[in-house]
Amino acid sequence: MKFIVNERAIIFLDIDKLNNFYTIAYNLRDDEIISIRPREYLLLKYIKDNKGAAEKDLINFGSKLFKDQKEIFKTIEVLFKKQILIPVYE
Amino acid sequence: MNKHWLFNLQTARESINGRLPQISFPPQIHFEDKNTELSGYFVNYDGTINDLFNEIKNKGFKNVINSNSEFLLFLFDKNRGILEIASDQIGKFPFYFYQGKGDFVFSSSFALLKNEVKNVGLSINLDILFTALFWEWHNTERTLINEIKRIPAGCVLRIPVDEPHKFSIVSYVDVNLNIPPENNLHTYESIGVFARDWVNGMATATDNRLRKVVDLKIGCDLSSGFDCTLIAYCLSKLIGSEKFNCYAQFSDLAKNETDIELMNNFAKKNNLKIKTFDASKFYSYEHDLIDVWSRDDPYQVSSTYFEDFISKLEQDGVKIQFTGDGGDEIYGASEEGPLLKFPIQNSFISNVIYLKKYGLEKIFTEKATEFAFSTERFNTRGQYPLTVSTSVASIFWNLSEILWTHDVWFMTPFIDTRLVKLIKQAPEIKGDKGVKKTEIMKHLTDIFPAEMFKVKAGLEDVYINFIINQKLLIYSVLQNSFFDKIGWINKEFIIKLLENENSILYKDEFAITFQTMIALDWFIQKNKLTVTNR
Repeated sequence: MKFIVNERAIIFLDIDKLNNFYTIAYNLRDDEIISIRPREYLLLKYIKDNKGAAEKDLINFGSKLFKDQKEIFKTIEVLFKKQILIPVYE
Repeated sequence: MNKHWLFNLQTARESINGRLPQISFPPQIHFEDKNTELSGYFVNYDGTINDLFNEIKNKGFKNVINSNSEFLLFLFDKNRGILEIASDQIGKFPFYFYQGKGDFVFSSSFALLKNEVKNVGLSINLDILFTALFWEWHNTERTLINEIKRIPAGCVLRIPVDEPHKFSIVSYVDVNLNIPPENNLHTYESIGVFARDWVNGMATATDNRLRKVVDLKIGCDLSSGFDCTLIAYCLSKLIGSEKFNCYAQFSDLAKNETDIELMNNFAKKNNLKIKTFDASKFYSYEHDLIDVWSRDDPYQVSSTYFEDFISKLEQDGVKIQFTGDGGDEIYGASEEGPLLKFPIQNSFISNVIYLKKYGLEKIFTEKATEFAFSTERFNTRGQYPLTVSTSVASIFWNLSEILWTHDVWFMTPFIDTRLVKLIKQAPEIKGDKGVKKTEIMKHLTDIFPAEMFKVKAGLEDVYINFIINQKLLIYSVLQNSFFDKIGWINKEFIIKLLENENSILYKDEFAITFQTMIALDWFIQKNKLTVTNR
């Protein structure tokens, strides 16, 4: 299984760098706007640029951004629950 | 009385003084010394800008743009040869420009400018075309026509007069001014106490505006909602209800928008005078639009009740019309912080909501939705934040030209930044902004009769009347449809939907979008606009 970014939840723009990688995303199911912080942004961008990422890739990449694996999993869980990340079963 | 103006950069360079028409409001200003000339229109409501000329010369536009002021200002630096044109933070003045062939042409009228420059060959801006379909307005320099631009609200257009092609647009809006740090936010505990302070805040913002319009005849919108009624109440307390008329347009076809019985009860309770206008013919769409639509009006606003209403205000001598615009949006200000800081992303999300959540993608092709969500579409936009919701500011962007034509100025305290800050201190109330508003108003039973506290629906049903009663126009437009030519719709599919009164086209949001689509398609065809790769 891998995760992909829901392309109707978030848009990645050139100006995101000027905003220090803060942005917003949208949870269509719950009609909710979500603030995205830099660590979450970079994780999502990594997933999008690689057209998806499996758990081990996320742990590997996330280790550069997050304190520990627990934080990485918690972030992924929240993004998944908010439908910003979508699981794909291969 | 048509007060529209048009002139080019050379004229502006010589002197703007005397080129701009006198209007009833806001006042015209002109200052000049050996280095600098400042002309335009300016009024300040919060007392923070007392010496405009020196403020701008010494500190630039930032404080002026972030104040509660309304203006369109032309600043010419004679030494450096730089012309700067500044728009207030709402963008209340109509202002358009064309830049090409080493010149700039400026105008208060989109139509005037379009007809002035049409020989250069005009093309459609697809980003704004899609924006217009959903009324998903955003702060931008773009208009429907690539060659014609506007100054985004809260921005300065800077033009080196000897090299006009090097012009730039910069925003000076500071959204953080209206978002106090969380540890500085005092929140009310009691809704009742907040409600009274809210009325006082509204009265102050209204009074600040009233003091600037001495000797001008004022009017006030009235409906059966809580927004313009609250303003009418404040006006009656500040100057007495005999000093102004309320104006209301109504129709049995739009009873959800204005219930005339509720409105009359409110007026009676508060001793208000009302003049009412029956707008039924506009909501029924029974009059022949083929003879009424204008090739100079992309959204055909001039054929709606709005033009008729403003004409009647003008005939009555009204120069300042207080409205409840912004009254829906302000109650959601607490949640709007992230949206104001990320306007381009917010616009993307709006497209997701319209196409996916409301299902509007069903009447478009895949090519259209691919364009709607494309990164390129959003990446090429400038970032121009606002201090208020775009749905409020856009009212003025789309209607200011008509108001200018009739010399009527719309005024609403709901865009006052001090009120935006105050509403963020309201007690937490679960529910959307409509619920929040009602819960606050329930504590004002001395102002509002009890029967006003019921949920209002919108105007969607009336757009179905357009589809039912304007089939001849619709078919004539679809025959050579621009949207079909560019692959955004399949006209055979649309015709099938038209022929079935149970289809999605006859429902709510689809009807609004379809009516807008036909109006835009008609405008594009009549003006022979083309598509470029820009």
